[in-house]
Amino acid sequence: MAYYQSEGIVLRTYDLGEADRIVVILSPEHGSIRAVAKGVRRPRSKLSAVIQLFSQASFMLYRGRQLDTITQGEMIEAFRPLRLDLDRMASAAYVGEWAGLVARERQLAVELYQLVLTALTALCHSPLGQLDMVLRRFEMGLLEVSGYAPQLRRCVHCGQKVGPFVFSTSDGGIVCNECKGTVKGRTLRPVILAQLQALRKLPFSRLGVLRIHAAAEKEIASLLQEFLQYRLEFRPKSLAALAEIRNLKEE
Amino acid sequence: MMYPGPVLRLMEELTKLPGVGPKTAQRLAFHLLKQETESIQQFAQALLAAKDRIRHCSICQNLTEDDPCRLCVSSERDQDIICVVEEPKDVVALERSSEYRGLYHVLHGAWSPMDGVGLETLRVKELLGRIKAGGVKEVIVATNADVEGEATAMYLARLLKPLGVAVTRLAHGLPMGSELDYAADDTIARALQGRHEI
Ligand SMILES: [Zn+2]
Ligand SMILES: [Zn+2]
Repeated sequence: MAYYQSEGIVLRTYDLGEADRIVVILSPEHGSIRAVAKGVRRPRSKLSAVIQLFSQASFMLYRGRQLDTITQGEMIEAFRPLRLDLDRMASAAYVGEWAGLVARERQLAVELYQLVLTALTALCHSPLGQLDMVLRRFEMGLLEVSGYAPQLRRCVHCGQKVGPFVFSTSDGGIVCNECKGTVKGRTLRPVILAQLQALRKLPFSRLGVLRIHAAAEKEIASLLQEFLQYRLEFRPKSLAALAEIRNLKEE
Repeated sequence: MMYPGPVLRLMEELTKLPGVGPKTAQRLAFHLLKQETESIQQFAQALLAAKDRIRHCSICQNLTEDDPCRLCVSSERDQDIICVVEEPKDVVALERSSEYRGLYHVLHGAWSPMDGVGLETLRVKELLGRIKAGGVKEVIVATNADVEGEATAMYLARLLKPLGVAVTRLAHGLPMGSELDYAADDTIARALQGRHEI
């Protein structure tokens, strides 16, 4: 089959030649797709709108030897609020960067696709003060989708369910006092553990029920970030932009 | 089959160009090798001369032979308005429209978090310096009409507004996804006339 149809979300675009772009699409059935969109940097190109960053569209593609070619596209959701607000946009860039890293070419990515879709939707509609929590929920989901969900219910070594615990990035979850030994872990206040557990279960639409203090939020963010970078061996470039625009706001 | 060392070297250099993959590099390399020695010399000299004589204007960051550039020193340009663009080719496009009489600032890129492109990599500090020096009333953000261009505009607005300048954006009319230098001249003129504050 030379032609195929696929729904997808645009994760990345690169200029190619005079007026073309290479588009990286996350699709449920084909994982990450790299395809050429011809002539899209000229005005009046029919494809321009659907190959914009984070567009969700139904694409018609032609299978090529190295790169596929997008022949048609129909917008499903443009996620306009992302394009109208700097904080939402930067947060979406962070989501997109991780998704692009985890997705594999020509492999099913149904769960990852659903996760990214839900996260982008939440980034469009959540109050600005809640965007960071949306990102934490996304990180938890990303760990699950990629098979690295941290053990948060019982000690990873002995199964002990009663704390106190430390959190060990290298051991993959919480470790009880008896098993701790020489393990280098973060001390984990019970309230932080409870919030991590809640974060894992709550749907994106219900994140508002979490009442987390700024200090605890920082602790959770740093714990998850360290864990992600350790498991997925990657440090997102968009972290710098997120930090920078946050500084701009506080000044 | 392995190519001789110098051919491989040439292809390696060509792959460093934007939009050039291994296949195109191979095609370009063979095209170049077919040329007369004289025309290859002219090509090499043009490259070296351009690199040697062209620099970034220390004020607007556009490419220029003289520093500061012709536009920055001209007494006929409005000094209190700066139009910010992504690339030098966009200055050419705006000049072609004959609508704009102010100064320019070239960022050399668009704000792109995923590529690590931000304050440190764009020529933003130079722009901040110009505004802090005083005398600027309005900054028109004329970045491309795509998501990256829009994001760059929002980013600059957040950065510049606290400095007390009006930050404006070209009016719509440039279709989503199009680059400035592909737009018709009258489209650019209309977009300039209808600009609005962000
Ligand atoms: Zn234990
Ligand atoms: Zn200049």
